[in-house]
Parts: sequence; structure tokens; C-alpha cells
Amino acid sequence: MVHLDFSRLRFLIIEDNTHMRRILRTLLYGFGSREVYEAEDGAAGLEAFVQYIPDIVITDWAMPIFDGLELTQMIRQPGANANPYVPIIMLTGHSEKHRVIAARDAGGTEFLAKPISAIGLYQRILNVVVNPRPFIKSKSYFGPDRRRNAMLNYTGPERRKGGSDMIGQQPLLEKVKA
Amino acid sequence: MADNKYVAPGVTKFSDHEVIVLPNRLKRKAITSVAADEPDPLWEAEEALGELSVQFGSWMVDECTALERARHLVQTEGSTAATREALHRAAHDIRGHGATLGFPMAADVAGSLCLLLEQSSDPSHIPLSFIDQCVDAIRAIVREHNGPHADRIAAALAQELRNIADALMAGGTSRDRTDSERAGALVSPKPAR
Repeated sequence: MVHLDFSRLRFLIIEDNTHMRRILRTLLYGFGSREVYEAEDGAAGLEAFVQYIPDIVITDWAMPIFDGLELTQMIRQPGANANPYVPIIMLTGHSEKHRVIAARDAGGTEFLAKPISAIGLYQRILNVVVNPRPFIKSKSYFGPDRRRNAMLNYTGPERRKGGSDMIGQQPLLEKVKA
Repeated sequence: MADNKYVAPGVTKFSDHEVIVLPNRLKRKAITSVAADEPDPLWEAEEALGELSVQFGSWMVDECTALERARHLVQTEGSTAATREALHRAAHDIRGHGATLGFPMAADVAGSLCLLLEQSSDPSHIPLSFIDQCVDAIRAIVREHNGPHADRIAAALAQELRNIADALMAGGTSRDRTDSERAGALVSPKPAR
């Protein structure tokens, strides 16, 4: 049976609400974590990220100074810090699809809509450890591969080219050949 | 504790992007086999959260106080971008945390207020009476949390406020009253015992 040893992982929680920080810390300690650092806004979070080099970042979306999306974009700068590949779990009170897409496009690794539950947080952490996605670096994006699955039927924008190209419906014969 | 030893990632280059496959450092250092008698981390975390939950009621009172402070700013300084931002932040906190703290209906009411602040075409014209109703309703739901029929009354209150928010966003006069009249005509948010 696979077991995730939380005591070997270093976490950074970035959340402006003191109560929510307490809940997250309690859950992480409950899982067995020993190293949990905290910051209460995006700027302090970036500073703590550079200082502590966490294994996993858990950040709220809505925060003063700069928010979780901006923080994620700052972390996802190749060469700008010690670990631009760090898994980032984005917490938010929003669960609308366009929010999820915005978090993904900023380079977030996982998305966790509030209310927070022990199992929801555990599963996100387990997923970033056990099933990390490759990173994609294009002229318009740097972050975890946004294609979680190979979709032969995908139609829509060709994001990796960063322009207005579209991927159209592939003829059946081509799909069969592929 | 963090393993900072650098291991070069595998990079595959394409014409318009690179695919970077990183060595799974976290899996290597944190995944272990587990003995049968090892405590379940989820159970441990739930237990710890359960012990903490005795404080959730007072935390919600704190959240309500922050929301009332933000409302006071809107009342005294007017509906400006800054005062609406403070109000939205306080309401957003309750929307996000209310359910975690055991007050899902308070979260729903806060959600209605947030929705209006986020999506109204002219947020400066959101009726103050509607803001009052939402803030007072959240306070009442928290205060009467353990009262008889509290859940039923809170659900009805949350639904009524959501309807009003929807009507305000849709242009307001979906029925036979103006926005302000409709917002102001809400029943007293203090649930009857």
C-alpha cells in the first residue's frame, strides 16, 4: 500500500485569513507534517517561498497586495527562483469553470474549491506527489501540462503556439491512422 | 528537510514548445510502504479538525464583525471602489470559509452579496438596504445557529436574498417593485424561534 510520509515534505501556506491558515495547518499536522510555514499575503508568500524553498505551496486566490494568481505567475518564471516547478495548490471560494481555467492558465497545479475538507486537501497533495505532470514551456506559457489526458477529439485554440490558431475536427480516417 | 539537490530535467524540444519532464523528487522522498498498524492520516487530520471545531463559532463571530466594519465604511464613506473592495473581501471570506466552519447558509448569503459586487454592471448603485439585509442576515444566522428550526429559516433567508440578488442583476424590476423597494421589503433577518 502506498503511504505518503508528510513528515518528509515542507509546506508553505499563503492565506490572508488567520482562521483558514489555522485550519490548513491543523490538517497538515494531522496528516503528519512537521514543517509548515505560513504567510499572510502574496508578497510575504513570495518572500517565504524564496527563503524556505517549500516542496508544496498551498495558496489562497483572493489576497491583498498580490493575489494567488499573480503569485503563481511570479513563481512560474524559469530561472527566477530556486524551484519554478514547485507544485502549487490553489484554494478559492470560487468554483466557476472560468476561474478554474484562469488558475490553470496561471500555472496552478491543483485547484481546491472551498469548503476545505481533509480528504479534498489530502487527495490534491497525493496527486501532486504521485502523478506530477510534465511542464510545458512555450512563448506564452510556463507551467504544468494543461492537457491531463491525450484527447484525440480535441477542437479549440492551439494554446502552445500562443496565437489564434485553432485545432479543428480531425477527419475519421486521420484519427484511425493516428 | 527539503531535498534541494539539483537533478536535471528531461527536455524534449518541439518547434513551438518544450516538454519538460522532471525527476519525481517528492515521490522518491515521501512515498513509503506502510505498516498495517500505522495510523490513518486522514482520520488523524479529521480528529484534529474536530478538536479545533469548538472554536468555529467564535471565529464566525469574528468574520461577522469584520463584515460589519466593512459595511460601516460603505455607510459612512459612501460606495466607493475602496469601500466596496473592503466589503467584498469580508463577504468573500465568509463565502469561502462559512461552510468549512459549519455555517453553509451564512456562506450562501455572503455568496449573494459577492455575486452582486462582482457582476453588477454598476456596483455603486447596489442598494444599501440590500447590503444591510445580507450583513444582518449573516449575523442572525450565526447568532441563531443552534436555535430550533435555524437551518430551515436560514435556508429560506438565503434563498430570498439570492432571488433579490438575481433580480438586481437582471435589471431589478422583475416583479412589481423597484430594486430598493424589493431589497428593503425583506422580512426581518432575525429568525423567529
